[in-house]
Amino acid sequence: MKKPIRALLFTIACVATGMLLSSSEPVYYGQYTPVFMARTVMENAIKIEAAQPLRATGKIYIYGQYILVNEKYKGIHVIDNSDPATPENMAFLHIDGCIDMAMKNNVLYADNAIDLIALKTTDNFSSVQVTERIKNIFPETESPDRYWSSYYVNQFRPKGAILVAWKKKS
Amino acid sequence: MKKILLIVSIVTFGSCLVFAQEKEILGSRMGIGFVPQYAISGGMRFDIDRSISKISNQWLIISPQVFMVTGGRYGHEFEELTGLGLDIKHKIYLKPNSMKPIGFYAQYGIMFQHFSIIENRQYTESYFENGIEYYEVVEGEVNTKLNKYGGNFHLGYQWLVGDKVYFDIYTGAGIRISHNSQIEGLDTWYNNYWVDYGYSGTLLDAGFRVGFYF
Repeated sequence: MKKPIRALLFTIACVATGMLLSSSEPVYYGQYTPVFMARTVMENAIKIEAAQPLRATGKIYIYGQYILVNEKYKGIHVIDNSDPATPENMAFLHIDGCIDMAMKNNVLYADNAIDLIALKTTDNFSSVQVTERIKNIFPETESPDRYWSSYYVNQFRPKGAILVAWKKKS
Repeated sequence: MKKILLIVSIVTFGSCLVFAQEKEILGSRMGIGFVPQYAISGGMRFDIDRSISKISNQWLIISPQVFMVTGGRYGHEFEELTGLGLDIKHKIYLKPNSMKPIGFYAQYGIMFQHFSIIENRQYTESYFENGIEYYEVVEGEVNTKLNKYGGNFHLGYQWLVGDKVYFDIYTGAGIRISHNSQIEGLDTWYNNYWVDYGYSGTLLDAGFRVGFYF
C-alpha cells in the first residue's frame, strides 16, 4: 500500500518541480526583427528603379564597365564605371531578399530570398526580365545576431509569407 | 401476478438494504476543496464534489477556476492576464466494500479555460514601402483571447480525516488544444511550456487537493 503512494508522491514532486522551473525569464529576441513578404508580391516586385544612395552594402561584382553592389536584402546598385575617375550610380535593381549575385552574357543571377532567379538585362540596364526562377532553393537567412530560431520566426510569419530581410531595431 | 411483483420488489429492496449495510458509507454527499498548485499559474481552483447517489463510490467533481496575473510568467511579461476555467470529472473510488471517498481512485474528465491577455510584446504588422507590402515584427500592446480545452485521466489516493476533511493526491495524463485569436490554427505564442496558458499537446498532470465534506 505504501509503495504506490510513494510513487504517486514522487511523480507529483517531479511535475511540481517542472512547473516551478518553467516560470523563467522572458525571451530576448536580439537586435534584429524579421521582414516578410507574400510570395506573389515578392515575385512581382522585381524592377529597375532610379539610383539610390548606398546604405547597407554587401558584395561587389564587376561586369564589363559596370560595378554591381549589393544592398543587403534590398537589391543591386548598378554603377557605371566607364570613367573610373567619376563612377556614376545609374540605377537600382529592386530584388527583395537579395544578398548575392553573379552575371554572364547579360544574364544576372541573384537570390530573391529563398529563390534563385535569372534576369535578362539590356546592355545599359534600362530594363530587366525574369527568365528563370528556381523556387525554394536557398534556406532562409538567419538573424545577423542569431537570436531568432526558426521556431520563433514562424510564430510571427503571416501565412505563406517568406522571410526577405532582417531589420535592425531602432 | 401482483403477488409475484410484490415479492420481487420486497426481495430487491431488502437485498439493497443488506448490501448497503455491508458497505462503509459517508453521510455527506457534498464536498468543497481547494487545489493549491494553481497558484503557480496565478489561478485559484475550487472543487465541488458531489456523490452520484446516496450510496455510491462514484462522484462528480466540478472545478471552477479563476486566473489573474500581472508580471512575468512562463517567459511572458503580462500587463494583465485574466481567465476562467471549468473542469468536470467522474471519479470512481476503488476500495472494495466501501462507499466512502477514501483510498485509491481513478478519474477522467474534460476541461475548458478561457484567457484574456494584454501583453506588451512583439507582433507582426504590415506596412508599405514604394507601394510594396511588407510585414515586420514590431513591439506594442496586444490583446489576445485564448481558448484551451482538453481531457484528463488520473489515478490518485485520498485520505479522510474524521470523515470530514480530505487530502487528495493524483497524477495522470492529459491532452490540451489551444487556439489564439491572433493567429490561425493552434496557438504557438503562449505555448512555451506544457504548463503555459496556450499549450497544445499531451502532458503529465499531477496535483494535490485539500477540502472537506458537509
